[in-house]
Amino acid sequence: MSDLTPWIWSALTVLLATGILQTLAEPNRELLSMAFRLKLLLVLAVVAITAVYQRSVRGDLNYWWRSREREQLATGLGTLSLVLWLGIAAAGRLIAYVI
Amino acid sequence: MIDWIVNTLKWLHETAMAGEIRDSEWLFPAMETIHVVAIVFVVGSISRVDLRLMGLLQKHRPVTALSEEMLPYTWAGFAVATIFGLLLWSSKPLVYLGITYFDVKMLLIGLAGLNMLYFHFVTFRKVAEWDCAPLPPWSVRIAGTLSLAFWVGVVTCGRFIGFA
Repeated sequence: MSDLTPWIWSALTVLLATGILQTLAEPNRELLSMAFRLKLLLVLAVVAITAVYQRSVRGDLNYWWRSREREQLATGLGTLSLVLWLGIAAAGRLIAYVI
Repeated sequence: MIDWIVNTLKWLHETAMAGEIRDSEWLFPAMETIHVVAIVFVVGSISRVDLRLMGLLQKHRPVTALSEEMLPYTWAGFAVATIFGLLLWSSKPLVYLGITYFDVKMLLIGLAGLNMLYFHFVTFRKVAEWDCAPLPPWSVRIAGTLSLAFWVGVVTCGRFIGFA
């Protein structure tokens, strides 16, 4: 996991930079679009989950295996993160189609 | 031969299904979204293996363990992407064939496939020698680099089809 962390944040930085450029180029197309606003909310949520998860395992690699409840919570967070990413891809693609 | 292909594609263009995808307001965007999400699974799972082959990621995990873990995602994603890609293409088969980005995308998928076959049947035979190596030999690193380059090219060309 820790091995993948820098790749996640580097890729997110590239996405943020190129996304800002596209928004500056066509602010109305992005900022007024409901699909774009939804996408931003989903991105914020998934970034928060990722940051919290990474913080929790930094000090204790087995943090999520210490109790049954934590294990279940980890599965839930993982599923939520995946669903959010699918939603981000879908919302992103739909910016081009819906107002 | 060419005439036969062109006539078949014209027939495909005139099928009720192709017409439905063309004329519907939401069918094409919905299928395209599924196509894109499936490609994310293909390229995401393949890149992890490629970066491991290049010696850049998860250097202390056996290559075989990582590739076995990722392969189901790759094939499931590829199957879904192909099915929805064919449906999207069927809406305007001849128009897409006339777009250079589309042709290059297909070519790159073919090259990625050949690269994978060569790797699987030639380079992979000696996997026991480098399975646990943090930095695999050159032939393996080159296969990983080529694969990543081909797939980045596939995504890039795919995106540009929409702007052609």
